[in-house]
Amino acid sequence: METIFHNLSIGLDAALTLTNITWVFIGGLMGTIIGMLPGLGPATGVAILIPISYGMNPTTALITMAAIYYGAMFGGSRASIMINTPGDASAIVSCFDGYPMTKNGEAGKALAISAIASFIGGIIGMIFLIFLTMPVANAALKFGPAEMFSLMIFALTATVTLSQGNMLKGFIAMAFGFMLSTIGIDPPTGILRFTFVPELQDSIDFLVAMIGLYAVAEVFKNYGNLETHYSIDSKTIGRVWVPWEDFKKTIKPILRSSPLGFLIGVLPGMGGTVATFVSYALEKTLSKNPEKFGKGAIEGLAAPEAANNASSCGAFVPLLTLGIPGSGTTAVMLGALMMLGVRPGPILFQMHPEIAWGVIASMIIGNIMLVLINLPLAVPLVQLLKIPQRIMLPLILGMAFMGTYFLNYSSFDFILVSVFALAGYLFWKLEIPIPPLVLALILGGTTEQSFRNAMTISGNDVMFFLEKPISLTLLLLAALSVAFSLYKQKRAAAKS
Amino acid sequence: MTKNEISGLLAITISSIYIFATLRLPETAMGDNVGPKLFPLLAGCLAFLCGLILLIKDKKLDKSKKEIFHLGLREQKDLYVKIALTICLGIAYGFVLVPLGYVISTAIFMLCITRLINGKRWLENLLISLTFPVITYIVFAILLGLSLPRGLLSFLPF
Repeated sequence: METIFHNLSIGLDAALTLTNITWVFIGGLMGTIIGMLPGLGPATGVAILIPISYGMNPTTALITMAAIYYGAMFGGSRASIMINTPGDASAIVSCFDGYPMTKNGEAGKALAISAIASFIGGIIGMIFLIFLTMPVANAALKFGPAEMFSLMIFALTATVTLSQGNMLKGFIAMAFGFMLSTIGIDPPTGILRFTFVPELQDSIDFLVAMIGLYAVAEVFKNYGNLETHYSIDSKTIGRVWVPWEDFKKTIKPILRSSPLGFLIGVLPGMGGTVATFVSYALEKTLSKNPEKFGKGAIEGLAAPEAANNASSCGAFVPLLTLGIPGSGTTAVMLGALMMLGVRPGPILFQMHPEIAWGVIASMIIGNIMLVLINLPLAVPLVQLLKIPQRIMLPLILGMAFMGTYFLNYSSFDFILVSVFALAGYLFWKLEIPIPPLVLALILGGTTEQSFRNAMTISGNDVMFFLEKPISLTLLLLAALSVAFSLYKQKRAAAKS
Repeated sequence: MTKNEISGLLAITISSIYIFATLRLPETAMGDNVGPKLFPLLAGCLAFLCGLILLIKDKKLDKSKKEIFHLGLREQKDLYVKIALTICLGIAYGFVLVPLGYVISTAIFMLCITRLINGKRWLENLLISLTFPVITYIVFAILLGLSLPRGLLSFLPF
């Protein structure tokens, strides 16, 4: 207990400088704006804002990235509420009751409660995060290569099976990610693998892949509706505030949804999307007047907003302690951290507690700052939704290419970005999910190394993975998630 | 062909090439005793198998149930021309970035991109393509101290 507060104070000490707070503000504001733009979700937002953190010292950079991440989460629901266009999948549920509230002339109230619920959800999630990271990191320190390999397999399998869509396509995406991760020099032997051009020797920078797959491909998807125009009448928004009697109705839903969202966020593959849907369904079941849901019930907006932010805290547990991201957005965050020379994992908490706890402390500051940004500035900020796509998309492209250049100062990366963008667009058309590919690309190196180390230790005995209890459990869980997914598909097929 | 069949074929083609390339990797006794081949082989086989199952499963479906997938290259010619041009512009941008310098090459790139996306609203296009490189240069090169190529403008003091 004391160590936690000690660690947290180290973190706060590192985070609370004037420079850092200024950057938290700028990062949060930029994140909110990009996360808010229709069609561009938090993953895109974080991917194209990464360049801002170049040239900063690691702590400041981390804090800025966390603020961008949070800002994008806050911003995502603005578009849902105002124009019924979710920025990403986890903001879909916010449309259910958020947009009806706007149509009922309660846009101000909806914007306010979404910011307040997000804030409370974030703070509750943060408290859980603070208490959960140390035990998990300590347990993970005891992991050998066999456990590490099984953990990776479990995390990736869960990402495939728990996300919506065709499971086989998910596994194909995962295999593609692994294949891409093997390009470059093989560290133990020094052999060059699959390097058709010399530029590939240093292996594929996965931030390049992500800028292509998320930012540029996202622009291509939006090419179809360039002339879409959203009109927002500022006069009808009203005061951005929640009266006490309305707030009272949302307290219990928020307090229920936050722990739920956090737990879902910790599990690999279940990000904010699942958390928001589950909490919405739960509140609708518990409500005395479920018929109001979908017609502008304030609880129906508050609950998923709280769950979403709590789940994005939950996602930081596997990210910081094990180095495993659970979603596209956290994958981009992991990429940004690794680029700054921070390798999340149990060792980070031992070697650099000030960085690990600095991130956690900065998320608390970020959360407070964002509620301060989002309440008074809500009305001017949503005016940005009026900017037409045809103006926004060139700016996104400009940022994406500039960010690519900063990664390695290489024009070859411009070709790679373009290839990934095309692939991302094609995969989208074919309904092949992108997150398993990205996660496998990031985790591929570690997965292969732990596999080979385990095999070397055991003298090439595959049974080694089944003899260790933790490793066996993780593999069984992976198998279970596949079986469950197959069962669900069978049942759905039988129904139709 | 359906979306699943195309995805299956795609997976089979890519993994076949990949497996072929893996098998041609040199054997080595250095490093560890697993070698550099086994893991790529497993990944390739996973993609191949999943692709095959996907293909067979959809082949068995009734013709009436199949949803034929069209990229719509002809109907949405405009869209695909835009995508192709964006990619060409992006690659070209990479090549002129160093010789011309960041500000000039970015201004040209943005002018082409805005013409492509925003059409003939020249005033808006010019405004965006002039302000974007200047503001980003000030923020990244001057305020954050990152190195950006100055190219033709290297005679300027900042």
